[in-house]
Amino acid sequence: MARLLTQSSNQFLSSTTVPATGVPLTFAAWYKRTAAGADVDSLIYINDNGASGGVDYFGLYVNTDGTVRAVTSDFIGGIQHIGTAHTTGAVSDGVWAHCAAVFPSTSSRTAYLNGTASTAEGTTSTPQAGQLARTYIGAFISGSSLADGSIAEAAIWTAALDAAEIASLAAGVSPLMVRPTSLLCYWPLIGQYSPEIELRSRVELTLTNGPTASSHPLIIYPSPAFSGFNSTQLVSLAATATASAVLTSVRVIFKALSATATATASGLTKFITLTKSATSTALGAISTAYFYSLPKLVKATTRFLNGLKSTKRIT
Amino acid sequence: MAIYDVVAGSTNDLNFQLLDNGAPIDLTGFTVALLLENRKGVQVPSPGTVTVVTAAEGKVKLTPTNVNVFDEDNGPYYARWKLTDSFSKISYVPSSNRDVWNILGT
Repeated sequence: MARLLTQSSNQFLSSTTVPATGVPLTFAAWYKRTAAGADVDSLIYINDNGASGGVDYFGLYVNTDGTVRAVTSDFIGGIQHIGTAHTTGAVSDGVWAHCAAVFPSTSSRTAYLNGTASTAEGTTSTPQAGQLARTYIGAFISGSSLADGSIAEAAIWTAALDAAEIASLAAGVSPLMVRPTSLLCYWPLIGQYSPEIELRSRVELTLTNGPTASSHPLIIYPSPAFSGFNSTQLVSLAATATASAVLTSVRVIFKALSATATATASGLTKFITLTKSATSTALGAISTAYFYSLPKLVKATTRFLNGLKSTKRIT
Repeated sequence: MAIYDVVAGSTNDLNFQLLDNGAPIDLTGFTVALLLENRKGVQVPSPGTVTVVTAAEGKVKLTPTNVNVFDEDNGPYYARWKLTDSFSKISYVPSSNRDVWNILGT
C-alpha cells in the first residue's frame, strides 16, 4: 500500500526531525500523479520551518509540466540562490514513475525520471544547516505545493547515487538494497501506521489531514538467500534463456569482492544481467551474493555461499 | 529483513527457523535469545520464553509472556535473534536489517 495524498484535502506527511543538512544527498520516491494542477507536486523536501518563507531547502518535485526536478535553495547575504535540474521526460498521470534527485555537491544537482538523468545543473546553492527544520513528504512546507497522487518507497541517502544505482531503484529494487551503508531514511509508505514508520533512523512522519492507503508499486525486497546453488544449473539457465527472459525471471545482485568475475559487478552492489559467460569459475570469485527471483528458479544442491543469516516463519 | 504479521494480543507460540544463507542453522550448543524493540525504540524487556524446538534444524519459538506483549499502538516491532555459542561468541539472525513484525488489529 502506498500513501494517497489528495491536494484538495491539504494532505501531506512531515517530521520535525532533519536527518541530513548537507551534501552529498540523494532523494528518491515512486510517484503516481493523479492529475497536473496549477502548482508543482512536492515529493521530498528538507526545508526550513517556513518562518523565513522557505528559502533554504533541498527538494525533489514534479513540475506542472510533469518533468522531475531536483532543487537546492539558500538565502545568504540577502540573496536567494536557487539551482534546479529538470528532466526532459515527464510523468504520465495515473502511472507509477520513479523520481530521484542527486545532490553531489553544493554546485551540482541532477534529476532522474525512471532512471533517465537530466543534464546536471551547476548553480552554487548551499542551504544553511541552521535553517533546516522540517522533513516533508508531499509538501514544500506545511500546506504548500502539495502532491496530488500516490507516493511510495521514499528514501534519503547521504551519498550521491550513481546512474546505475538510480536505474536499479527505477527497476523496482528496494532502497534497502541500494548502497545500504548510506541509506539514511527509508519510508516504505505502506500506509498502515500513524505516524508513518521509517526503517533506518526512526524519522517517523506525522500525517496531516488523513492521507489514506492506496495501491503500492511493484517492488523487489530483500529475501533470504539460497543456501547455495548449482552453478551448472545457473549457467544452463543463462545458456537457454534469452536476454529478456533472464532480465524478467532472474534478478541477481552481486556484492562482488573480486574484480575477476566476468559478471559486470565491481566492488559495489550492482544490478546485473546474467550472461552466457558467467562460468562457474567466475561465479566462484564472488564470495557473497543476494538472490531474489520471481519465481524461485533453483534449489540448493551445494553450499556455495555463507554469511547471510535470515529467518523463516514456520507453523 | 523479513516482514511478519502478528495479531495484537497473540499469546500463541511464534515459530521460526533460523537460516544461514537459506540453510537451517544447527543450534546445538547455542543459547538463543530474542531482542525485540517496539516502534519507539524501546526494548521489550520480557517478550516471552524462547525455546529451541529442534536444534539441528534451527527451529525456535517464542511463547509471548501475555496479551500485552504485542500492542498495536507500539507496533511494528523489530526483532533479531541473538545466538551465543559455547565459546561465548555471539552472532545475530538476521545479520542484515532486523525483521519487522507488523501488528495487526483484532
